[in-house]
Amino acid sequence: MQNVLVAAEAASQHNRVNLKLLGSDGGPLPLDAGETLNPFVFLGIPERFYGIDDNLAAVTRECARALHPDRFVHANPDWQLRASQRMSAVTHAARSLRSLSDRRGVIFKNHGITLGKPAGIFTWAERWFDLQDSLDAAAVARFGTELQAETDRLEGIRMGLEKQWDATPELGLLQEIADITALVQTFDSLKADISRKLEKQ
Amino acid sequence: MSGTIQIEKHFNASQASPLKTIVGMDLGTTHSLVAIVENSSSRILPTREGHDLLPSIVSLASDDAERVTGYAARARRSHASNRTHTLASVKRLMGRTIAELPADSRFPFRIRDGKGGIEVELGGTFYSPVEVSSWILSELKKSAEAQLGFPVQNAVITVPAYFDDTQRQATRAAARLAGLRPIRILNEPTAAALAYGSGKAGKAQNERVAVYDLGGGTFDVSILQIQDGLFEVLSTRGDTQLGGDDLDRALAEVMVSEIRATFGAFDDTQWEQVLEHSEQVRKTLSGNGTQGAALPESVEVAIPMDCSTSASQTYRRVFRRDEVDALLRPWIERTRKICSDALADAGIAADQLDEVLMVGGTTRMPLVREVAESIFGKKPNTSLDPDRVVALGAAVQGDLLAGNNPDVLLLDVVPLTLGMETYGGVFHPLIPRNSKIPTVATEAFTTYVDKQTGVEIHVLQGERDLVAENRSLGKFTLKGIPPQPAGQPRIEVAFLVDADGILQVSAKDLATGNSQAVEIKPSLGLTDQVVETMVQESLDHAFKDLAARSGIEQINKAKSVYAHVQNHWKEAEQFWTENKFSPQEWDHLNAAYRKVGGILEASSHPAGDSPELDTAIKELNAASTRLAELLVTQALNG
Repeated sequence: MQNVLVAAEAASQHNRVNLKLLGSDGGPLPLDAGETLNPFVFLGIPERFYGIDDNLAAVTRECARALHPDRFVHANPDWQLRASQRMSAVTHAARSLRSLSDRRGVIFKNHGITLGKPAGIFTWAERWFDLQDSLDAAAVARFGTELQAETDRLEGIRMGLEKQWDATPELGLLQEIADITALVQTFDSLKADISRKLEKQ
Repeated sequence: MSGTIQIEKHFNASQASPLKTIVGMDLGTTHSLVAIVENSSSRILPTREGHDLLPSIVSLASDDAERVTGYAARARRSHASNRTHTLASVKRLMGRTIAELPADSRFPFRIRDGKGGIEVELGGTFYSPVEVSSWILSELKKSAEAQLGFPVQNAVITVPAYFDDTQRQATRAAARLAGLRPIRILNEPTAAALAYGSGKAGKAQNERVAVYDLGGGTFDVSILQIQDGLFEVLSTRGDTQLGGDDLDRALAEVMVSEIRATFGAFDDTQWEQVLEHSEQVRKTLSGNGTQGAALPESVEVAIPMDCSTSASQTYRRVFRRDEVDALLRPWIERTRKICSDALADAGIAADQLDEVLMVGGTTRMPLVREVAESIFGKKPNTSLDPDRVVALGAAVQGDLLAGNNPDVLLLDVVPLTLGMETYGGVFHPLIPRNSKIPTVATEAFTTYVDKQTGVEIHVLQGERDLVAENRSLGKFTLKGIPPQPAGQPRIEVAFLVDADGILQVSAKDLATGNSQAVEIKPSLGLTDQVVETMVQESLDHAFKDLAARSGIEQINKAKSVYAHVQNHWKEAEQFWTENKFSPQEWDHLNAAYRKVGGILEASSHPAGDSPELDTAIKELNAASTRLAELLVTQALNG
């Protein structure tokens, strides 16, 4: 169980796709209308609900260094136009992901989870693994109630995200729904474990 | 062929030249400056009056039609007879209507609403603030030309970060009117950060800075991330009606009410005089710009009362620092919320900032520094010259745009939300404030009346929900939509903001492909056509100045020729010892060189064309031909 989470957390930080911004002649690649349909793909950022903000900052900087129109003031008009169009598309895509991330922030906040810390949800989960390890007979009853409450909260988040998904069908966020569903399953089985321990006693 | 021209071609590639030079201009509420980057360091170009700062004041002496700017204008203002002939702080009126000014605004000159917004009176004629600003920019241009010795056209001009599109367009128009090409309109706090950060260029750098910029008329705060030469603006906020001017006015109002209480009346014509005393109080308590000296704790004011019947009556008053601070604190406290909003927009906490840079003359006030420290929980960095750093930064950006510094890049933002009107007078945002530029946004709209064949696109800027509360940038109509039931047509509106922050809007009927694009022209201010006409008129007027200017140009030419020879004098002496000059050539060169040097030393201020200097320049040109040949040969042979 723990391995699933560790893997997911690691993935959030390291699998940005390398972007191709300039052609072999050193000029900005012309912008194709289809390219920008999915901002995650366009910016090479994994389609997940965590780590968006950090990735966005890095991608925007990388693109600005290569593509900013000030870099092409003395280039031919064609390159100038391409630089301006591609850079504009980058800032636009970054903005739409930022706003998605912000809207999710509201959902998380409503469920008592601090956003801005992409890994926060995992820290929270780990707390429960620790609890599981240290379960003793005296604490069981209390933890059982709390576990129930936390699981309910997780279910709430999942529902919130699904609603979000309905509201923004243009963004392919299946992966993130799968992630959150996996978490819920993890907690479900955790809950089952504790129930069994309770029965034994 | 002239000798110096050869030297120039061969040795002068790295120095400022007319084609590559983009100067930086800070068009300030109280002061304006011009700067340039030379040999990778920026410096202020002194004005023709010989100062770094040009007071943003224009005056017309009552007995003479000649306009003057700068300290000369400021000196005239002090004479009562000239009070209606002097304009100051017009930057606060750029792209504004009277209704938009704060209710307690008070100007020593008459204003009215004209076709293009506010107009101000000078010597019986009303001018737009754009025209007045163009006179100031024009003076900066002439100053730069006198210093550099060649015509200056390209300029980066700074504006408060919180200026909206109309105010920026007005600034561009002023530049064009002054005969300048505004290559970039740059935000003042961003310019300051560029000047701060480029001083450290080359070193690996990663820091977050806040720029707290309190000038004469405006307040801006910007949060930037500087990483290895990339200057990324994270957020910017401000208030275009908050500055040192307001503090001076607040203190002057206190003086006026005390004068009324003591003498029973106050003569309004003395307002300017009281205001000057008030400014002096604030400056004295701030140490008058001198660093390190102990600051006085109180200042005495003595203003003779014109209105009093008894000649000896004078308003006397000692202002203590603590009471002045108590009076002005509410104004400075207004910056607190603006700063915390900027931090929130940037998504960082105050303790994540590495530096808080203080910019603008008003930040010399100990009270302002104290408030800034309490806002950010950090001692502000006061090492930058608050009056000069913006112009220096503008010059850095000019240098970047001239292609001279590929390691530095600026990523700026739009300060205020851009959007359009939708049904019911609701403002629909398309590009939110603090969006990085360049950028684009598109949105599909539809009609709300059956068989509607045209759609009016009303473009706005601001942070309010209702159209009426935001700034209208312009309107245009997309025509030729085939008649259909309401809600059927799909009209795509695209907003484009380029790296210069200029907005372009286009609308397209997705069914017919019929489209229309407009660069948003200010609904206030001047149209391009008007600007063109005015440029033409000012060219006509320019012939008046021609005599004076050609004197300046002659001096500059002499300076330039002299400097070329001077720079290579060591080599010249070396060639002489190697017998590469004939004794005749050597004597000729020496004589001509001394002659030009002598004339230059004697005449620091040109008084029109001098035939003597003209001959001397020609002589030196001729005499240095041999030197140029020798230098070129030497360079070619390594």
